[in-house]
Amino acid sequence: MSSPESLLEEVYSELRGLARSFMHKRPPGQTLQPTALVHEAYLRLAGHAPEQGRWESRAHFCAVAAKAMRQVLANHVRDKRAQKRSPDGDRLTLSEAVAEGGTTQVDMLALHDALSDLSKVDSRKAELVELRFFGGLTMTEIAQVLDLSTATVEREWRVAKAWIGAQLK
Amino acid sequence: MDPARFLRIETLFLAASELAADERGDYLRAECSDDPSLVPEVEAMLEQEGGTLLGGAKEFQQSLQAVLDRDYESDSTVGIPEQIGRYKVLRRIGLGGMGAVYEAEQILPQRRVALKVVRPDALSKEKLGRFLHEMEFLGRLQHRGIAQIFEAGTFDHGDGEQPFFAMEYVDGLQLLDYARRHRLNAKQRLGLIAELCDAVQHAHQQGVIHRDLKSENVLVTEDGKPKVLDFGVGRMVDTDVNAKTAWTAAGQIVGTLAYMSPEQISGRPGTVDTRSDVYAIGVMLYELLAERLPFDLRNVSLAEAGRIICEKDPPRLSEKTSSSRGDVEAILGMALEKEKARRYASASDLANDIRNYLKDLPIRARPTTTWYQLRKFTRRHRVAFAGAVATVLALSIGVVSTAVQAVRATRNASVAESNEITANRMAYRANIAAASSAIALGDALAARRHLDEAPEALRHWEWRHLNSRIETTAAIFPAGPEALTLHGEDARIAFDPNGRALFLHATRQALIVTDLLSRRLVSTIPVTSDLSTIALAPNGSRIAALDRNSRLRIWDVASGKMQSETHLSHAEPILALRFSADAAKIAASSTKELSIFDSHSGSQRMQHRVASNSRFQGGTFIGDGKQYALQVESGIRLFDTSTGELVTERRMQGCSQTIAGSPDGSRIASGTDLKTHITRILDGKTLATLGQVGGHPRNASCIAYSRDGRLLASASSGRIIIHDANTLELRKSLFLPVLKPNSLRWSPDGSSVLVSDGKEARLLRWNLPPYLELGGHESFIYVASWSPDGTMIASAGWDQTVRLWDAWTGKQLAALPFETDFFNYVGFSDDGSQVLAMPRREFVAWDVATGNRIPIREIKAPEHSPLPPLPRSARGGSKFVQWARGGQNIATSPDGSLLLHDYRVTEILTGIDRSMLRGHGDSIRAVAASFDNQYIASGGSDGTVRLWDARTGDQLALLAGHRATPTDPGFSSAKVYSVEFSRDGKRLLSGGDNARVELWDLESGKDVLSLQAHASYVHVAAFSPDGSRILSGSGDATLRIWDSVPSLERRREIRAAEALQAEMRPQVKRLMDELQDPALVAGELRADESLDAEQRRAALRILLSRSISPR
Repeated sequence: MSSPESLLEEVYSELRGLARSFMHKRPPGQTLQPTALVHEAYLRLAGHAPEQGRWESRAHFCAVAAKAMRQVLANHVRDKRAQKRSPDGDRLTLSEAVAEGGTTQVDMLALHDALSDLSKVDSRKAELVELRFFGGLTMTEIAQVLDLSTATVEREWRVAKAWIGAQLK
Repeated sequence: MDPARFLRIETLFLAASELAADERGDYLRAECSDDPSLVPEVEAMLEQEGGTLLGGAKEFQQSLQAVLDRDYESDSTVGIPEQIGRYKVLRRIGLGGMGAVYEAEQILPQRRVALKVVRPDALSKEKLGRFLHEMEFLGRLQHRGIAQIFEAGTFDHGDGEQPFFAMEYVDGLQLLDYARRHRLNAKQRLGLIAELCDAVQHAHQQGVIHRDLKSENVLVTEDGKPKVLDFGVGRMVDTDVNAKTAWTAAGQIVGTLAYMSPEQISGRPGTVDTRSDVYAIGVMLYELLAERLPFDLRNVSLAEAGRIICEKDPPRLSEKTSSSRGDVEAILGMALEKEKARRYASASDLANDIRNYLKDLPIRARPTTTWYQLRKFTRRHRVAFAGAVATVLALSIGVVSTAVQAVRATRNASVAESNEITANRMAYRANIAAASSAIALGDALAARRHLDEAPEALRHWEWRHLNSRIETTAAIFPAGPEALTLHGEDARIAFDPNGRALFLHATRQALIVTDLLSRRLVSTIPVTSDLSTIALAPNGSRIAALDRNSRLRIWDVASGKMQSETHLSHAEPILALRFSADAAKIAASSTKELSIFDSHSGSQRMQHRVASNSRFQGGTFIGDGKQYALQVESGIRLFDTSTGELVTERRMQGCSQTIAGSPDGSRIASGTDLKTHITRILDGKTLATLGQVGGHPRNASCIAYSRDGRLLASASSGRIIIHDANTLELRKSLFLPVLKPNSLRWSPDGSSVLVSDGKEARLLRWNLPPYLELGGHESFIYVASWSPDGTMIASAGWDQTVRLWDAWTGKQLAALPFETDFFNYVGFSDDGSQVLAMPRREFVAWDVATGNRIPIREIKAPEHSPLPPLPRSARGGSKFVQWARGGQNIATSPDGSLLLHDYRVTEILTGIDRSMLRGHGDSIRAVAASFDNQYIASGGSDGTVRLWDARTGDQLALLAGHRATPTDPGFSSAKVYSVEFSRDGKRLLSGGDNARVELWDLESGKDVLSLQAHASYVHVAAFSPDGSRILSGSGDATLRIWDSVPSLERRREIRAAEALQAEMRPQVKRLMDELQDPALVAGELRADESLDAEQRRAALRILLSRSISPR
């Protein structure tokens, strides 16, 4: 049984490899989704796990993977920023903004930092956001992973999202 | 911010969000009168509520893509090389995670290829060898429906060595694009899938599972032929997770999920087999017909995707295909069965059903009910039977219905059952092929896994052969219950200069050194005092023992004499005694203190104590013992052993106990990373890191350099891994069951490693050739046979000799010259007393005990033969002539009912007509009869082996598979020169021009193992009489014996035979002295009834070696 740290490390390196490789090839008509990367990582790691019982469930894995995924993306953007020295190049365009007729932008690193701040004051909320954004888990699954009621998850999600939104503004 | 403040903000936010927008400000100001700074914070959050900046998860994920996509644009501008290897690069086709893919041109032969270049960081140096090997293996996949791999290699354009491989360039469209572009109708689309099945089936028969079949991996060429790309990529990856990442990442990430079978998505790799590919083909078929995937898995979580794939049925096809819906749905249903056992057992079963459907024949995919068959029937005979429908319907509905139900149930069961049988066979072949390949790559662990997965009921010679190649463990030596448990467990094994493996253990009365292989005592030193620590020198020459009174004594193993005695003054208990390689020095260490002594005089050379907060981990003498490397938790210290001076020191965190020095002292291998389980290779002088090796799932518990310093072995529980000490490439991984090793030694010749956990020791031969070679012939070998008892082999060839060999040791016993360079046959008489050869049409014979020629009238040959006397096989099946020079070719069954002769001139002697063996043309090269006389096998220049019914002459099976060597098609052909049945009739052996020996499973008609047997054509392939060994003989002038029993186990038989010969020697000598003439002695020995069969054999063998000296 691997320690949680080594599991995270393993998942992280897997995801990093996957993300990097994806960036080198953009299949026609296909888009990168962090969720898909997490799936892929699961298929690789779970499918070839030499020993049983390294994670209790898929949900447990996704929770670990979500953390790793966030790290991967943050590091990626940081690296690229260092290379290009153009901070604006990394802003994410939110498709939601289109509905409003304008463009709003989110900075991946700012999000990463906000999450880190959040985890200091309320780690459960930070984890919840991770699971939702980077692990692609549904509210119901998050409720299972965190052992909470769905109503609590919904409420915490509202708070977390609003708080992070306010930090990023 | 502190958590309390955040909690307050949260409460405020939740409460305020319940209020109407215009009430919120007042509420907040009232609540926060003590801390007004909270108000703007909560207001900012309320502003975000309702979804402005951060949308839902879906929007967020879509937006991330923009960043990542931009990187693609910038990275794709990297320059394109002009030339790679011998290929001229034309353009870049794609850029993957693994590296780039180019379209390139090869000059000779002129062809276009797709070149895949692997990024240097995607494939470590360690894995390069494996990659090249694997590619070569995959190159054997030759099928018009599979993009072929031509070559794999490396090139260096200045940024280091880069691996690449060249594969067939396929100019085509992706499956679905092609179907749309050419507006294929449903039947044409089905036809495409049937052809795809053919290709996949071919690969499955070679033991290769794709594992990543999807429509993007199938291109359709302009002439409408589908071709599968990247076949076997999944397989390469099987043994190597990292490689898989590098590989499949080049494919699509999102697309893969939809093609995964329930067993794949469940993440149980052991259960994935050929039927998983069948499932993926089912998905493609669905996709092609419905123009959408069976399940929409976009934007669902993995858990959800898993649930959908494992539980949900795909929606029915659209109305567009309604005319054919029933059958096609049935076919799809069976291909997409959640349960493997109910799925089509093979791709060819699926293809058959598709083709039957296209021809309006009944398909298998549905239980054949009356109603269903009737519908099929009427469709085919639409006019004639239109009126009959009602009648049959009336009959089948109602009264019969319960019976129909019952039949349906049983049929269902038997379909599942027969699917299971076929799938089992395929699983067996696939596992054998994978194990064979893993062994070739030196990966015993993967081979072990595949062998364990091969269904037990189907295991035959090939399984045991591969198993014997893994089970290299020799003599397991348990120290026994009387052995004491003492410190020094890591210093109990040694190889003496003669290569004997030694093991030291202590009892209450003595120190005992045992020779592992012979189990003989080498030395027993009586010791009565209470011992605490013992050690054996690495060269086996000395023993050290420390008793409870701190008395250190050293003995010479050969003489048993004590060399020195000295007192140690350590404060803490001594945990380890370690000799230098030459045994001249000995180090004693506790957790805090190290002392080094001269082992001959017992005088102390140096002493070192660590700080109180530190402790020793491990240590080793370096090179000739002038230096000692000491490993503490925080680093390595190197001492001069004569002066005690600290030569150099390096601080490193996480050092383990494991450390070893190369014999010349230039390198130190150190288990220095508790986290990553790697072993660092350090410079022996500066302690600078030179490289690292890994491969263990936990820390290596011991490491050792071979005596020539060229190899590095490391061991952890369950495995030993051998690396090249210079390049650090992986050479071999060995399977080590049970034992948790704590010491490891190399044999002087580097062929074996000895490991021990202090309680028992095991010897592993790691680089044994997979065969025993019988070398001595000076030219091509045409014929060879086993003696009836399996202890001797006779061979003959172009060098004008008949040679006799000991089948256990491989030693040549005699070379009998004969003035011809062509032999039709060589073998033994039924009683084994004569060796018979058939140069042309007459027999010549020698006495196997004396080597004397035997006059024709005394040759023991069957009387009934109409030809010049043909020897009759003692044991049923027979095969006399394998070579077709001058049209001479003879086969016979033992009762003489079946005799073939001279195919070219069609001379029929009895019972069989030449027309029986049609199909090879006039180029039959080999014939054999099965042991029960039911079957005849033939092999020909057409590259096929055919199986015939011996009575009717009907061809029963066509065994195609003697491929010419793919890497160089001009070099060898597929001609078959030799065929032979196993005694139980389950296997057939064939050998041919491609230098391989193929082993066929006669129950399924497929080849199960292909031995890369020789460097030139194989003319002889024969099972030993007991079926445990295979003899191959070749144009490369060697004979080889392939065993299914581990060679080290055979040592026992060899030793027993040697002992028996030693026992018989005096008697043979006495008889020779007495009678002088070997022939008389042989007569005497054969008549001596006081001897049992084995004694007689041993005596006759001695006589032969005395009468004839091998040429």
